[in-house]
Amino acid sequence: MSKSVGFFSQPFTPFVLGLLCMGFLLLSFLVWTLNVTPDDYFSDVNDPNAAITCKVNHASVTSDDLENGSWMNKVITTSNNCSVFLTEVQIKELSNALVNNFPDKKDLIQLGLITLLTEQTLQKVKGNMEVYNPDKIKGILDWLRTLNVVAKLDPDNEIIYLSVTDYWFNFISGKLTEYQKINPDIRYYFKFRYLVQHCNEALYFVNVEETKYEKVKKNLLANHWVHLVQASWSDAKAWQKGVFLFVFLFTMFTYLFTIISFVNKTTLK
Amino acid sequence: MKFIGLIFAFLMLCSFNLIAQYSENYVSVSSETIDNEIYSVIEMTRKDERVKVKYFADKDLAGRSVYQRYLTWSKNKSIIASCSGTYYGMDNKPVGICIDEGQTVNKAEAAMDALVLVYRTGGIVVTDLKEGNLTVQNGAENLSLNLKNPIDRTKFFLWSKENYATVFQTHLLYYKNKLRVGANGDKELRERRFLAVARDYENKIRYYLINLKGNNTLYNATVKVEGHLKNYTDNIIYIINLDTGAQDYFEVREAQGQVMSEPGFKGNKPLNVSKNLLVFYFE
Repeated sequence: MSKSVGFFSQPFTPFVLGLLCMGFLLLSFLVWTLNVTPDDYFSDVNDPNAAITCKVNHASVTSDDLENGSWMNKVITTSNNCSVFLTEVQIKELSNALVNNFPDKKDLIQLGLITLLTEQTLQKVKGNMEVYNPDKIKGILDWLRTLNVVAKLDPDNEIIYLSVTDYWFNFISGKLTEYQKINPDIRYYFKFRYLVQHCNEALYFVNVEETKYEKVKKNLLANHWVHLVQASWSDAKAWQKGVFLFVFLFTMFTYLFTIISFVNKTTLK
Repeated sequence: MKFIGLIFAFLMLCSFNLIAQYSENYVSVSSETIDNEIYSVIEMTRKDERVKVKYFADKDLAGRSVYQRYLTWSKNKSIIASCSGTYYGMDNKPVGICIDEGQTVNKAEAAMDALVLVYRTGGIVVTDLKEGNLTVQNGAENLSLNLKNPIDRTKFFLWSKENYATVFQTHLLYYKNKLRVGANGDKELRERRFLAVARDYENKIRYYLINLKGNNTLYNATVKVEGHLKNYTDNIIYIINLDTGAQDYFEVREAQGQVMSEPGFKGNKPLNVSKNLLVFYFE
């Protein structure tokens, strides 16, 4: 009993208690920081339907079909058990064949192809996009990556590739923003982060929302101390600033008091 | 002789600060307290095209921040007012379509209707993305674009690159005599800041930068400001929202160049916090 009273009456006690408190806070922070949802990974096994691309047929397309826009339905006759995302080879063949058959309708053909590969394709896969399905999205991103490469090699059809990649990236980044609003937990999943990173690199930034705590955590981990202090101070209301100043001055006063009493005791001895 | 020269140089240096930064014929600043709320209005006319707008959306290619870019650029400029522009996301990038002098910053369209085009000539134009009738000058001809159409979007990004366009997206609050924000809009109570554009009796464009110091929802603030602007104009074309959240920077200068210190004319955050910047200046 006397030892315990002795400990609390020691001049270094506030420092030790302070250190213990700091240690406890730091430990809690570390646990909080490391408490990230276990990562999931993309499967190596491809969707069997996605592996086979739908067949394309342009032989029956007439000039009238081009005029009234109905030719797009003739090109892909069925979408059962096959991927509606046409390969770059199919797009090129389709475009070249149609332009060869109808050389005076190049603009119309390009416009039709863009509609086919964007809005019409979206209608066919819309059901799969209602809920967050990272594997399906990754499949589309892989497709876009090949189109992006081809855009540089096929200047005649560059506008098609650029428009299609732009449309899908814009759509996917919007969808990812939506998904994380519905289920904020996915923001910590590897697959989600991968997809977001992919979109961001292509300059389609996904608007991932952060809580205030997450912002603090991010700035702490990135050592952005100045920003942290500046942002906290300017965000704080007048009473919060007042409380902070009171606690700060009170702590300083306590330390000062401890030091003075320690010095006095030492001098008296 | 040298002594007289020195005195002359000294007097020149002293009077430098007294030379007006902008003419009060083109810019007027006013502040009014209504129901304990401060309405601060900066009214600027585009007559003679002397009042201009510049937008800094992001870091430049050399990696200089918006803050550094602004400091360098503003050295020989007569600044009227500057404030943070649109919202920014987790990556410190502006939310929505954003292009800085032809350099694409963000191509992802956000769910906000106003697409703001800041021309190199200093003019500012707002289009409603829902209407899909954006018209841009492409050389001698006009290019009409619907950004909901994939091919038009691509054409727009190609055009903006060729023409060094500056573009950003934000909330369209009032357009063509109609409120475009519902009572279910942002319900957070905070200080609000808007940019309104109107036509005056000479059919000239006027910009209004309005700061509402009280705590309001987006809807309430829009209704109040729309009503308040009727004291200035009968012909509001549009009102758009400016960010007063994480980057609540706002600074207004008097005609002589001094920074105004009244509460209605300054934001709560310093300049270096602003991730993007809308600047009104006089030339």
